[in-house]
Amino acid sequence: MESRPDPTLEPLVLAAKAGDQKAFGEIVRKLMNPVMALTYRMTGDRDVASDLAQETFVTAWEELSHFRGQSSVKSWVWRIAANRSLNYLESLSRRRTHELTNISEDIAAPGNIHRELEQDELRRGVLAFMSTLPPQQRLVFELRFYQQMSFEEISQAMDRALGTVKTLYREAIGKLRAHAKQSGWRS
Amino acid sequence: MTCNEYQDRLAECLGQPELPADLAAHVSDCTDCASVWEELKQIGGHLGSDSAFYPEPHEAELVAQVVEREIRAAEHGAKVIRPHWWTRVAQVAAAAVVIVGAVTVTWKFTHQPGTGGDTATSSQFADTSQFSAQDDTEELSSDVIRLLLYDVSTTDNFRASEVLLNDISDEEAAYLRTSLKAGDLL
Repeated sequence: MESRPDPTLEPLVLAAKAGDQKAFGEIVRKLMNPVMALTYRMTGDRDVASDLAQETFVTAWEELSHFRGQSSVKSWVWRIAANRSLNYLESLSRRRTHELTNISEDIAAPGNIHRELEQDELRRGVLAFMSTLPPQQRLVFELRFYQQMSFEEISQAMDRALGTVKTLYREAIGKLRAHAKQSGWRS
Repeated sequence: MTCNEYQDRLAECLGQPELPADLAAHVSDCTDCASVWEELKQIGGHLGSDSAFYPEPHEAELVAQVVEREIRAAEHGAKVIRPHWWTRVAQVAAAAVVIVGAVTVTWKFTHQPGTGGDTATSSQFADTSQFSAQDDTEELSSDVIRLLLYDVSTTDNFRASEVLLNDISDEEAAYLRTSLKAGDLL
């Protein structure tokens, strides 16, 4: 992720840091899709994903003056979104209210019916798998597989040891293989 | 390095475009590890890409607009109420309440049992038993409906929603979320 910075974002970041809300609005629109995809996979719920994406960008605006450009703005925003998602999942598991059924209801909601069935099936399968992972493991899987981050970047972003991050990922892959077998993915 | 160790490293490479050279060399020589890598690639195909999870364009735009409003409001020292899912449910509920009320009032003004006229008197309003015998599917004019829907759906007007939310417990909100559809109300 760090190796593929978007050059069109940098001037927008400079303008936004100077207080240009319009420039920040452009950043929001450029990053909204991937941020919402991340929060959706992490939570399995479109509405919660929207709320977390909102919070992510509002926090980014509030903290923009502290952004020193040591990482790309993308990975900085990703980190905020990932932390928000993780906090949400951890508070949820404390309340023990998160159930897999929420995910299937969300996917089958009337607003999503027009989406092509194949994509729905893919999303349903992924969200069902991800919901089986504990929050930290889910985040490592998300950052590694979908965000294509290196283990070093993940270790830095999560403030966890490199070995721990690799172990979390390998364990997630072990569960993924079992899930794939159970779901008939390995045809 | 043993095959187990190679397979651990293969697992770490799931989703990566290329294998490191030493791993690639081993996979080309070892049928067991080649079969594990083949399996992982197949599984990877079922995980889709990041874009498979993108929201609909209008959803993304809606969230972007809310963010912009929040930022503007923060700059002016005001607090904006975010349209969380329960706010949206409350908006629909508020729309239903307003529309049902308006339908009732309109019906009262436009129906005079026995006379068939278009005007109503206060004595006729008092005779509520007449309503039960009437068809309750009378339609509002499209202009009235449009105005009502506009009023409750405009993002700057949350007063009706706020009043409703004061009386909604977490349990009730959870119930509404799982069971309420806009079509049930409207």
